[in-house]
Amino acid sequence: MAPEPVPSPPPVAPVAEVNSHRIAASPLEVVETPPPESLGDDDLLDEIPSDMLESIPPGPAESYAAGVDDDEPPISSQRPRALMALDDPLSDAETDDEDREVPLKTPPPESGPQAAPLPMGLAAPPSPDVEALLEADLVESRAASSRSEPTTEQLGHTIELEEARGPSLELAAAPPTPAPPAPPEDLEIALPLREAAGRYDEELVPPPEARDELDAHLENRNQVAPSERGAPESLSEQGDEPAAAAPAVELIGRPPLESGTVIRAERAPAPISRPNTFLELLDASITLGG
Amino acid sequence: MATRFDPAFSVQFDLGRGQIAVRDGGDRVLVPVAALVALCDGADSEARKDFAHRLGTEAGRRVAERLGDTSGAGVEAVVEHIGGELALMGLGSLAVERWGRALVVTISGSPFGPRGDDLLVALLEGVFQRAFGRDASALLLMRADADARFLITSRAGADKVQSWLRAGTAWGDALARFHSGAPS
Repeated sequence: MAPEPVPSPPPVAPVAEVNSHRIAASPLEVVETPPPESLGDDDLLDEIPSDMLESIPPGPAESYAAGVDDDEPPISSQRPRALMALDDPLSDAETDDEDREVPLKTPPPESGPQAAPLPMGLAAPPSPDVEALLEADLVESRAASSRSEPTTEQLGHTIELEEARGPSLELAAAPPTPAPPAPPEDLEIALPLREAAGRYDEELVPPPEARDELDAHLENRNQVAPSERGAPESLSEQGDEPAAAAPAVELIGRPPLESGTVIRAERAPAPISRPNTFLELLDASITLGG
Repeated sequence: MATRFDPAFSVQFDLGRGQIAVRDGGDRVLVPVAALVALCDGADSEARKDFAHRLGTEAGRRVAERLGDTSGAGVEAVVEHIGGELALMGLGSLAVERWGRALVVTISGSPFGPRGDDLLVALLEGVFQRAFGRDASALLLMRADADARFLITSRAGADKVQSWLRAGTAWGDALARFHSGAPS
């Protein structure tokens, strides 16, 4: 058996009229009815019986002329007290913003009493409670973390304990805890370790083409007389045996230069001045020939 | 003060009497270049040289009359007047280059072409001798199509440079060598 439909509440002034004028409602004209669904002009004219229509006279002339009264909300925004009680978390926000208009909606017959939704577009949403959110984050971090070290948030709420009363206790030093084992590498296949890891592997064989070049280099090096080969000072002074793997560095110096004049300054010839007359130019050219 | 070269009314055509004259220059004859070149080819070198020298002397005389005191005339003014006289004769465009202290004259568009280079040499020698009273010698340094360069110097200097050119020295190197005073 289907439940009886909820009687439709008394009509309310169209939304357009409410938005254009802000009429201050007197206490006697408060309509305590559940908010209907979103109404359009067609709905008000077609479905609502005439006996349920109730015209709300305008307020005082002063308030009408002023147009805006931020202290008292319009009549259309009046909500049932029962519904308002369901919105405890938002009660503070509502009391802070009394001018917020709540769209009235008629709850479906099956759903029963419901909390009024937040206004959409008519007014700005309430500002979030930062402290409440932070506390919620702290609770979550405490519950989720399994770390032994206190978090930054926890440190901020450190509670200083009073000094202990009574004899002081000396606890024996705790034995050193062994170092935790290194976590195993998350590898599918364990990489083989080489003895020469990180170092030059002497057992490596050079490629065939490089071998010939190395031999030629060694032969050329051996052909140079030791006296002519200038041993680097860094190797001779240290007296250490050169590394077996690294080749010796050979520096070939220039032969000493004979002493002499390196720089000779010459005075540049005086620039030829431009002749003032054609005859001077002609005479100069004739003189060149001798 | 040297005056600008004014070619206006320089050539006068009296068609009634069939005469052509150059202002302050006497009568002139308009002849084809080919005929004149053929005539010069048939003459000996001395005749050709004398013919060209006379042309230069006439041009130098007119330059001296227009410039007045040629000893004080600037390079640009002399180039303007000598070039104007050669243009009135239809012998091409004249310009001057200074290679250090060496004087080089360039003639572009001569109707004689390479066959008339010796005529131009004699003509330039006549101009400088008549206008400035200097016995200068001209030497063909190079010719590139319609452009020819002539070195203006003494006879000895011209012979020296000519020997270098005949030895295969480039004309620019020869000029540089001539300017540095290198011996022959």
